[in-house]
Amino acid sequence: MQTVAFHSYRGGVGKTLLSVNTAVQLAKFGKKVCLVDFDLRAPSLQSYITSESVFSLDQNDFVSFTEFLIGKGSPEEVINPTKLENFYVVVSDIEILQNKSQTRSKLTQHGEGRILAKLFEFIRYCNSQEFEFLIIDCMPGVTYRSLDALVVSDKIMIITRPVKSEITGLGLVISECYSKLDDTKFYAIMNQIETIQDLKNQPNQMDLKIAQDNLKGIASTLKNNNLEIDILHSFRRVPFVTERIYVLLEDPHPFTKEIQEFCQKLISL
Amino acid sequence: MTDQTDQPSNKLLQDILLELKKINTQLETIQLELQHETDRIEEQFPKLDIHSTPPSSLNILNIQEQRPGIFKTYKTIQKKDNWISATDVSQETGRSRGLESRYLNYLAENGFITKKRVRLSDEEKATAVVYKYIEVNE
Ligand SMILES: Nc1ncnc2c1ncn2[C@@H]1O[C@H](COP(=O)(O)OP(=O)(O)OP(=O)(O)O)[C@@H](O)[C@H]1O
Ligand SMILES: [Mg+2]
Repeated sequence: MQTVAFHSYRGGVGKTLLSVNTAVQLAKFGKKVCLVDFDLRAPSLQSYITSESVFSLDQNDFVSFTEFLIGKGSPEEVINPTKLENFYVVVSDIEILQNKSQTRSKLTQHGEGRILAKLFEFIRYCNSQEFEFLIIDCMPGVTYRSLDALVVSDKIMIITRPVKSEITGLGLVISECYSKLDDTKFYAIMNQIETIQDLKNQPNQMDLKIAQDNLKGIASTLKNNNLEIDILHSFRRVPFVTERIYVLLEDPHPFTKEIQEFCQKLISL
Repeated sequence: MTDQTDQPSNKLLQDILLELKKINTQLETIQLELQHETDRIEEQFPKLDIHSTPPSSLNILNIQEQRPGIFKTYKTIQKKDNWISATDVSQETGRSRGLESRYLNYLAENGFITKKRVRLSDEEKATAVVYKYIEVNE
């Protein structure tokens, strides 16, 4: 089984959109996939999943992953099979955000190491169930929880957009965090790249120059460290993309083709 | 002539050798019992400590900084359901048994994994050291 984490330095770069669509597409390619919402700060997988009728999952069907992490549920209870063959989901609870959240206080009482130990227990279980891919949607930045996800993963997809603030952050997260995870494979994914067409229509020469410099900046940040991270895929900025699972649509969406190409690369890694 | 004078001393030597062998067997048994007892105690006491504070991901990054390459050993143990030996780990990682053994013991000493000695079979005295992830009690 391959454990693949989608991580980024900054928030809002596309981890959830990309990981959800990737997981579903991998299942459609016949791989047994478990997708885990491990963004305990702002869980959002549940809304993606329940709004798709193909899965026929109800809001009340779920036992939250946080229950498992605090020792209240078994791995079996939190892994939800769906109507889509080979596709299983684990969602996290919004309750953690609420003011008097019991789960949140339990999670803190539980200690940092315990959550990591539970995460490894979960991975051993998934391994025994012959999953081929365990896809983890992470919390951004460097927190205990995002580190936990990085520590347990075999492959890490680093999502970046070609903007200035992410270049510095990327350099930091590589030197302070990724480079210490020996035996883990890192791949960069550029997201929300402007197409040449879009750039041509850009009347402002200054913006065009900045956009090009940022792309170069990302590339050199990825190369100038001991990890030498390759760019596995660049996703275009698709206009009017919302929080949907495009790969489920009957009529192929431009985004679907990109996800399919990316999945082929992921499978052959 | 030498044969004749040697005879009694030969006999004596053989008796001594026999006695020594018996002592040796007894010592081996004692050593084994002691080892089992030490393992039992070791298993009980660090466990209490470990159980209250299992290592966090930051602890793991720190230990990797002290012993570059140890993260791979740690992860191999974490992903296995059962007790495994340094030889098993070295087969997984493709690194030498000696290195894995050193890393495994370092991890066990620092509360990252558990370690115990097992008898290879009921009759034989041979033992092996095996390692496993730390169970977290609820
Ligand atoms: N290639 C793209 N083209 C157009 N819009 C995109 C693209 N990728 C992501 N988006 C949009 O950007 C927004 C943020 O994406 P998403 O929620 O997946 O980011 P995230 O990294 O998971 O954020 P967070 O760190 O807050 O969890 C969403 O509205 C998403 O639809
Ligand atoms: Mg997200």
